[in-house]
Amino acid sequence: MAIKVQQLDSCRWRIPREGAMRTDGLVFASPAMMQDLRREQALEQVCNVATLPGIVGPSMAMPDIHWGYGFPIGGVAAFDAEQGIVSPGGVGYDINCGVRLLRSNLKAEEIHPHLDRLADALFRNIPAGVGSHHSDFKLSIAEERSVLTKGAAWAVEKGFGNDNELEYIENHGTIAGADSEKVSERALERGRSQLGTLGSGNHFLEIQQVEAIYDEDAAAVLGLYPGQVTVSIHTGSRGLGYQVCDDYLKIMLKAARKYGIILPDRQLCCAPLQSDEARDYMAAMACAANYAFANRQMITSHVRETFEEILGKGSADLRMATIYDVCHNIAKWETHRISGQERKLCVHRKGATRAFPPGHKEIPAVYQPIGQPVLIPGDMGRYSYVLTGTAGAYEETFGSSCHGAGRVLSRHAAKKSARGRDIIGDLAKQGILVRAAGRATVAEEMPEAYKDVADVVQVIERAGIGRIVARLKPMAVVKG
Amino acid sequence: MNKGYRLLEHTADMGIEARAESCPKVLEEMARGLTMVLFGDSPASASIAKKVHLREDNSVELMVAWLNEILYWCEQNNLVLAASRIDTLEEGELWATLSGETFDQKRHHIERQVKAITYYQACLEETSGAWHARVYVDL
Repeated sequence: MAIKVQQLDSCRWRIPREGAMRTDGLVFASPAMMQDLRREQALEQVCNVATLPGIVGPSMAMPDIHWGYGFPIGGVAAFDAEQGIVSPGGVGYDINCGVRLLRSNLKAEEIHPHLDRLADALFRNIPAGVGSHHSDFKLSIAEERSVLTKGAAWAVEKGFGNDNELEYIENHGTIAGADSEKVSERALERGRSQLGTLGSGNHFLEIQQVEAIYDEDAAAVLGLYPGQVTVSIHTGSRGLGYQVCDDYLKIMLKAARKYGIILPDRQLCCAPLQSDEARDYMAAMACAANYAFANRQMITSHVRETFEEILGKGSADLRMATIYDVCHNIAKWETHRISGQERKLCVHRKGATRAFPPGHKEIPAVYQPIGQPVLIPGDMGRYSYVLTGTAGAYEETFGSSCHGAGRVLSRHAAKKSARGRDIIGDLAKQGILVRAAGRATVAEEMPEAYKDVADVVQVIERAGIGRIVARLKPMAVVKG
Repeated sequence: MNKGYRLLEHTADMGIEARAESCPKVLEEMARGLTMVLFGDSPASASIAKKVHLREDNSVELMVAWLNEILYWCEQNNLVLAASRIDTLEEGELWATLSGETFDQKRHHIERQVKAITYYQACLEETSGAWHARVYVDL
């Protein structure tokens, strides 16, 4: 299918409405990115999303857009509360896959002599890899239901962190409306022993150092300075979230038939937001999102303990605090101003980050002057970025920005390119230690498999939908 | 493609495509393809077996449920799939037997995690006297 694309400026591309599309597509990308995009099916997926009922504004994609399933990765779409739909495929299997960034009171040179031991200990203390679980920690059913309704607050109640860090998590670490009765037994079973684990694929835990500051005022508010050690945690709702998505895709396939919704792709199956099916999904999705918040909260606690153990310092010396924690895969009720009127919308972000502007009531008081922190991981060989949300994003993209670098090589192509190379050895020569559970993961996740995240965040800043604050360089990476 | 399965390119994920002389056989081939995605060429013996019964609204949804069932069985029980056999297949309903063995780090390896089998471009159809199936998996 040839997609018509009109260049609007150096970073915006319009896909004019045609056929069954109810609205235009709007893609944020550089000309070079657009050339690559035309070779895969992500643009077609932007068009497919534009056909869904009740869509408000364009079907959007951020500059880390790549070919997904159903929605493109990097997709953002908002739906009217009365006329619109919710689609589990527009959230994805890894519900509330997201990133948390921790700052510390440490400088890179202080931890260099201990980096090997730190990497080993993090790899040992935080289970990673396929089906990773804690052998000595399994939730009771009652405890698990409590996790699903309370989210990160459950973890804090159990001693995994402090009350005051909940403020620095999107939605304070708890999505309202969670109802564990809407989560299947199978999903509950899958989640019981996986809390506090990293998982596999593109999930990671990374020790980083602040390599560059671009916005000194914002960096000061975030407590970031050059040479400082930070830690990023990228994981989600594990098997519980995958199962919730799978369970509700089945329900939504039936619902789409029941409500006469024509689907260009089964994975976009959905139900009207006012239907029982949609209400049940939102309640179950909130449970999985809360599980993910609790998961990152527990891992944060394990990271702190590991640093304390290896460096022989107390928490008061390390001062490892959460800068922020963001969701990448979520559908949320939000109020946005459309043509001068406030409207309640269900905003789907599939591989995209909320990026609320300075002054927004839903971001922590201390960040009101600078906007919401937006955490953008790159690949394990280059760098990650910290951005802040802008008024431009709030006006144009329902307060959304990108979520990462975005893949550019298929897994097969990455493995082929890695053949005969020692990726871990090459990274070690650059001063980056890697600990990985799966032998294929490192090859498939090699730096060249991803776009240069610097290109991605430059498009974001040029478009005015995010502001670059700092660049973080990896020192040690734990991969699933 | 000849009869059997092959893995398909996708930027972020992977696809599995299979061809066989019958619908049950093509579903078994898809299971073999999924095993390759999960465990590479790890050899596995059929020391543990499980009976499966699934019912869905149509054949494509049944195929996705079949592969998700295999994924779940392996993940929850720490198993490597050795074989799958479709015992009976009717409109939207199947009875099957899965067999495998407990994952042993000395003899098996995990190639990669599959989060789920998606419905994206999923198909199961008979063309020119052969059955053809395709799914994409979320990695």
